[in-house]
Amino acid sequence: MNKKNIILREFFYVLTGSLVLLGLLELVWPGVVLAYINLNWVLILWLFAGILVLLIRE
Amino acid sequence: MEFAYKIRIAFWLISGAVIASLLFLGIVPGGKITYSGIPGSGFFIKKLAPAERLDKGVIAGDPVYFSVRTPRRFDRARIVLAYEKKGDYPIIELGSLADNRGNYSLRPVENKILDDLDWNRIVEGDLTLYQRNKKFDSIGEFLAAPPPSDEIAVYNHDFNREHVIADYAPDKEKRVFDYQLRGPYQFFTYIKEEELSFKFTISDLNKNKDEDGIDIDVYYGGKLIHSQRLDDDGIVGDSGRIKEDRDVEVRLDNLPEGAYKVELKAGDDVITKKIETMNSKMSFINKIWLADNDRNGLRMYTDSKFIAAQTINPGRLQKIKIGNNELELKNTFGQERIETDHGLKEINLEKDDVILAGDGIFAFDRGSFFNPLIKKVNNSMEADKDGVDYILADYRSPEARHGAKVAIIDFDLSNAYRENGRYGFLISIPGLRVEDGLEDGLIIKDIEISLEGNSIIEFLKKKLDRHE
Repeated sequence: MNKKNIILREFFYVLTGSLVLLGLLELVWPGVVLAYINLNWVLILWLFAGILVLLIRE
Repeated sequence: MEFAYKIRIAFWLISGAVIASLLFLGIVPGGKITYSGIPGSGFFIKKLAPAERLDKGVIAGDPVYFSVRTPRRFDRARIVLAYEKKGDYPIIELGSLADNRGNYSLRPVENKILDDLDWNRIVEGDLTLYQRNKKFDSIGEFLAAPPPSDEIAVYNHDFNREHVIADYAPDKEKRVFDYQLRGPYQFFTYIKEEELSFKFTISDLNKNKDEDGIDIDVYYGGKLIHSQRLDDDGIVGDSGRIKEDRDVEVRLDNLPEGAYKVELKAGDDVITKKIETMNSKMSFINKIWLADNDRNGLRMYTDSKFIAAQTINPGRLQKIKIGNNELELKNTFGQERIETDHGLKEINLEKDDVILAGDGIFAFDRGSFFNPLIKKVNNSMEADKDGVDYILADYRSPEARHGAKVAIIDFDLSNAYRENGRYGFLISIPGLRVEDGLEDGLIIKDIEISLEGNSIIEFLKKKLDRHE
């Protein structure tokens, strides 16, 4: 696997973990994340990253 | 180390830094943070409401509300309000929500009446003394030997002066006021060598879901001297079921001579069916809601210079006679307002279930009327007609900056009401009405709110002190 693919894969994994953490943080303390970050855009970014990771594997 | 691990660590560090930054902004460890923008443009300063009082973003009616979302509680707020005025209305005020009953603590933004006064001015700290003819050299001198109360007006300042009725004598006669009242109210009474004695007969309509506990507070010289509570009748819900009437009695003895304020704090479900008292003076302050009791031909007295009337009952539309003027209630929920003559005048209502509001006192009979209030600078004040020669104000005129006016307003938020992580604010422009069809209003150019509270170190210190 080349370096670009490794970066993309690791980005996707970290983004997955971060998204879960941000979601939990928002649940526990409403407004603390959404005040500064629109999670919808992060979710779209995560989806694209996921699709790209799948395409690379094939 | 393998390349994948290095990348993973780098990404997690970035993610950790983002989450740490969010926590930092949420906790506000230094205790100070500033948010700015036009209401509705960002996450923190919410949009102005209600929409009916806005015309393409311009405030066209009074009052309008907005809220400020904060991650935690703060003790103080400094609001820098940049605005542009269209039209000529003398007073603009900003208020912060003080409790869950919708009371706001108002602070001045602009007062054109004071700005336009060409009187002598003495400024000391936050206070300004305006004198028609210069008599005092300092505010201290004025406070030490103030002129008669009827020559003084105040603005955004409590001038606690003992009000004495020279020829007052208690008559020890029992009085029963059986005009039914709805919701909260406050009144003045006068005590001299007698007991403060009021018995309230209370009923709960149970039309709203909220609990209807009642607090009765007694104030003397602006200070709370007595407080008592009547808990809800036990029916928490909107069933409309009415239990038997309950009595609550306030009796205080050995009081010094003077004016006392009695405040009944309650929701709109609460009806005061009867007030029995041994005290001869009972003058309601600014607002009174005569409840629905199918009563006709009601008479009251007031010294208000403007009267606003409203009913939520379609069967109570009527013409109200106020002195030589007449006010017609044409629509339910719509508030009608009239400027009246100066001095004490009679109000004659055809029917009850009307909310009466004004800038003065309301009383059920001439004998129980008295007004211990120092005049306040408001839309209807006319210094010449009202015989005012001195004005004591806690007021700072707005500055002109880049074509807009900028006012700085400080609020104490330590006891302010905060719900769902938001502080509530109100912009009040008395006299500004959507219905008048005029193209006047207020454009908010920017709001900058600087909040200050405990730092994380102060917070931890307080916690530790409590445990010790």
